[in-house]
Amino acid sequence: MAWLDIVMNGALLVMVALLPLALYRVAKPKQDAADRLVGVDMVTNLLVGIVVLLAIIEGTNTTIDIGIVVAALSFAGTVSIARYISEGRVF
Amino acid sequence: MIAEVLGAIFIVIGVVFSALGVVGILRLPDTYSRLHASGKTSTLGVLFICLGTAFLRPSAILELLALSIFIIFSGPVGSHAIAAAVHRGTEALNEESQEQGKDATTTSGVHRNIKEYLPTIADTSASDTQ
Repeated sequence: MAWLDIVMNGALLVMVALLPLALYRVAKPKQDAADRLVGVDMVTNLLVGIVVLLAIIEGTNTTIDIGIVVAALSFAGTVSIARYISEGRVF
Repeated sequence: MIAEVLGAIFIVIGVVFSALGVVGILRLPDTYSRLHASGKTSTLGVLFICLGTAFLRPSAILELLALSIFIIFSGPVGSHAIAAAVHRGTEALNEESQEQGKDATTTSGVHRNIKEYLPTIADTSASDTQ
């Protein structure tokens, strides 16, 4: 399946190329912390997509478990940082 | 053959949604608009990539189902947490959006008027959390 390999590698290339664009939203000066948090949320969602695409390309099912862990950690981080922004404390 | 074509199509749709989300968070003017872009498209992009992967690798369908269900629950909750943080804490709107909101017809104008007219609700909610 040569065309499928080309499509998968192209999709992975596009997803990796989107990462610095989303990181520009994080690192851009003179903006709120919530804007940076939107960028971080986008970056972690892109990372989950990249990990799932890597599972196809590498041919291993256990790579998707890494995606589940990345999604869980990004959810915990997003909610706790959003709570820190709004209330000044996490717990 | 048909499963591989369907999987490739769904994965390309997911990558296109992710690209549109990144364009949205780079180009849109204020934080609420950027949340509107990123909160929907990033969730939908990962879901379409998972759907395409389920066509390409049917043996991994349990992991993909777990990841999809978790993404469905955690994506809107995270976006709502950021939106609540912006609404309570930081000053989200830039000058252009504040100019647009002065006639109180846009959503941001209604939003600002609610914040002005109901300070007591904000005070009670702040005192409840302490």
